[in-house]
Amino acid sequence: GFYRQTLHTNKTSIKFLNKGKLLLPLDFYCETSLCFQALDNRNVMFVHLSAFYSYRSLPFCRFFLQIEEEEGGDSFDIHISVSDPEKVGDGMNAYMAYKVTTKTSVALFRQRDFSVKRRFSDFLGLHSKLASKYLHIGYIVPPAPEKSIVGMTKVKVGKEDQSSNEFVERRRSALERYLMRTVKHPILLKDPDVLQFLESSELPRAVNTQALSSAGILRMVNKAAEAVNKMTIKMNESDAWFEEKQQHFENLDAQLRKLHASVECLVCHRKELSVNTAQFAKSAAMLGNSEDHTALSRALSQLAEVEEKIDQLHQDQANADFYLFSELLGDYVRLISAVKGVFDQRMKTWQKWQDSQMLLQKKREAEAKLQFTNKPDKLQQTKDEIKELEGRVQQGERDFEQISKTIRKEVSRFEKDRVKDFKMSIVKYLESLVQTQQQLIKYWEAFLPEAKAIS
Amino acid sequence: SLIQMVERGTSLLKKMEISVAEAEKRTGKNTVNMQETYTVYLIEIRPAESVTEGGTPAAPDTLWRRYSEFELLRTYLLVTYPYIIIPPLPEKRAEFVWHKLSADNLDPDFVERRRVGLENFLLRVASHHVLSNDKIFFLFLTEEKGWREAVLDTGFQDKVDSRLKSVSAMLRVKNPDKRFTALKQYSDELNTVVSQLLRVRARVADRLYGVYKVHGNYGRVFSEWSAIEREMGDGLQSAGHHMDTYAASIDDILEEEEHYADQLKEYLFYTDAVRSVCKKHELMQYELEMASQDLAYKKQQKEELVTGTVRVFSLKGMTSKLFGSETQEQRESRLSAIEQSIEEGVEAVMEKNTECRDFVSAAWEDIERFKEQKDKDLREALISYAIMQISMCKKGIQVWSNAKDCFNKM
Repeated sequence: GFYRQTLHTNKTSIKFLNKGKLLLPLDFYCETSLCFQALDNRNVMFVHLSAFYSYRSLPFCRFFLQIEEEEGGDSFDIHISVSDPEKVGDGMNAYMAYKVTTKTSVALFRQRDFSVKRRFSDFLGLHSKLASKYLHIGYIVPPAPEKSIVGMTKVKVGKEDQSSNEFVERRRSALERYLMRTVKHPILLKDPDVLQFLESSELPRAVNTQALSSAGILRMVNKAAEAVNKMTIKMNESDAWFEEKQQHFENLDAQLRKLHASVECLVCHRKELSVNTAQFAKSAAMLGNSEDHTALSRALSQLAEVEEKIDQLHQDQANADFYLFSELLGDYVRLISAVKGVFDQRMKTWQKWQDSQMLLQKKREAEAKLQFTNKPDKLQQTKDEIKELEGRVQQGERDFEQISKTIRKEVSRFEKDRVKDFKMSIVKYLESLVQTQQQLIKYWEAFLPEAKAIS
Repeated sequence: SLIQMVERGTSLLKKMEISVAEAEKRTGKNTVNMQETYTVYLIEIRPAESVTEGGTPAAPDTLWRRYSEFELLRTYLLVTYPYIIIPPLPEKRAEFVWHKLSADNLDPDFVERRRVGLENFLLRVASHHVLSNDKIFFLFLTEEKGWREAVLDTGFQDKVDSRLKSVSAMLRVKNPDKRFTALKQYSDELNTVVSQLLRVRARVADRLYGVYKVHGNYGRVFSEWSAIEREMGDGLQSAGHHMDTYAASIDDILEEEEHYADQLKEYLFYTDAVRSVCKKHELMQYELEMASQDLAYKKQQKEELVTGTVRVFSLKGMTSKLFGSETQEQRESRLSAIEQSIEEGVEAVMEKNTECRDFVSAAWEDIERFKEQKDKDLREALISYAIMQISMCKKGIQVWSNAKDCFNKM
């Protein structure tokens, strides 16, 4: 891409000739994403801007703007479904196998439409590989669904009841959402482990899936947080962006947890409402049986039937509450833990760099002292060590720069997806509520003539 | 159904409009001379054509009555017209409550619903072609002070059948009327089923209330959340608004629904009134059977006296056997006494028979009327209930569609 446009921001206008770096005055302030129109009105381009600025610890300040082209918005063409849960084996060694179907036009894959069989530990294994590869360099790796010993035991033992069916369905849905989030990530999609997971018919059994769940991530996060607390040197204010974002995620986490609690409450209430409506239907039916006047009796029986249908509607609505809303909120609460983890990784990276710098400083002091002594061997050794440390410091700075850059990109990608995700789910949820009300109206309108027929 | 009752046009309702307009709290001393707080209700009587074109309506005649006075009136009617299904009063204490409703008699919502119930009661009595002509009822509506005395003067309390009588009648009647037995079964069944329905309905109301109120929590969270969002801020704020509106709407909905619960309760109390009539019939039947039995016994005694055989034990017979037979004079006097007794007995049986027959025909007429009225009332109630549900749903759709628009605009 090669663009000749004028970018208008609220502060200043910038002319740029091609994708790359540009020098800007220090007081430039840029929003993290802007949409702008071509001067000649030929194309509307959606461009994702990452603005970031360097740290004052270096002798000069540089402020640069890197323009990246969007991956075409919704032309991202891959869809994954998890279906057909099947119990394999018996007793405590049994497990559920899920069919993972991929439909895609992305060139990375060998086929356009293919499926494989996977079990829960395979998903955990995938996540553990991705986490170990990408978390420490700042990528927000979507957490895998939670393990559940109680839920799974019931299934293994062979209880074919309502609660174990609900458990399997809940897990299936969670696995599907997990995979979709993973492949929506432009970097993770290209990862060979992901490709292998989706394509190859046989997968080596994942062992030691212990510390891989989101609970595991949380443990990791807590460890990093402890390390951060022990840091005596504070990071300077040029990281205001990061501080602001961290606070933002803390607040968001708090709100989502509250909302999640409300929705769980709602699901409970609706289920109870459904149970009681069913009882109401039965009582109304009995009343219909007691009455001898046929039209009245029929109307009362109709009332009972309407109430039964309403009971079913309440149940369906409770499920919608749950799957559309509650699970989404739960996913995001876990995702935000992953985001926090990534911020803490950045802290760790900074710490590592600082540690190397301190060591370098000490070595330089040692070198200076050794200049006045007559120990040429030691001096040379120290000079070698200094060279090595200088390399490490440079690497540390690069790593920190890189992780900061990655996190900024990731956070804005995450926020965009989050808004889209929420908007879509909330709209779907509201539509389900509207539909329920419309269905209720149909039932009552069908009942009216029966009531009017009593005479 | 109010309109229907007025349309039924008893001569009383043709003359006047009756309403229970207000309720007020009073304090005073009760029968054991202790201070108590109670509620009085204002009965308003207006002449039927009091509002002319463009003219001001004439001021109504008014008086205040307590719930206990209504109870007294009803007991009087129960005793005086045992063959009529007397309309019930609204409940004495709040039953079938769900958590929001107060079980306190002085609670304003309860008082308001009671006011409506009392008005209903008066209108039902006033539209009954027999009850509306009762003098005591008329005095109840017009004489505030002298009414209590007038009621007690009728001596109706003496006519109240003792519980013991009713129970033994129920157990010992030999030829129960099949129709009344069926009716009693029907009203017993109805009583059970409607009670159950009311109990379940209270639970449903409770859960529905819970569901709506949780949306109030959403409202709060959305508002707080909108403060930390940039793009979604406005959408969340509006959505929060809508949630609050939705949560608040349940109060009005359940208040309206309570009205239908009250109608169900009236239905429930009517079954008690029907059972009353059946019990009275049983008592009459029993008394008729006792009178017939008594007559048969006397006839047998006469026969023995005439033929000289002793089939029935009697003290006189025994003593005459032991202490020598009686003189011809004595025998003849005894015979004439028994014959008189038999005559009285025959009259008594005829009287009881007529009484019973009259009761049965009058009662059955009222039962048919009641059934017709009940079907009409239930029809009205079911239609209104369905319409209310539909309107409730439509409001819900509005709320959710508005919220959806807020989010779509983001």
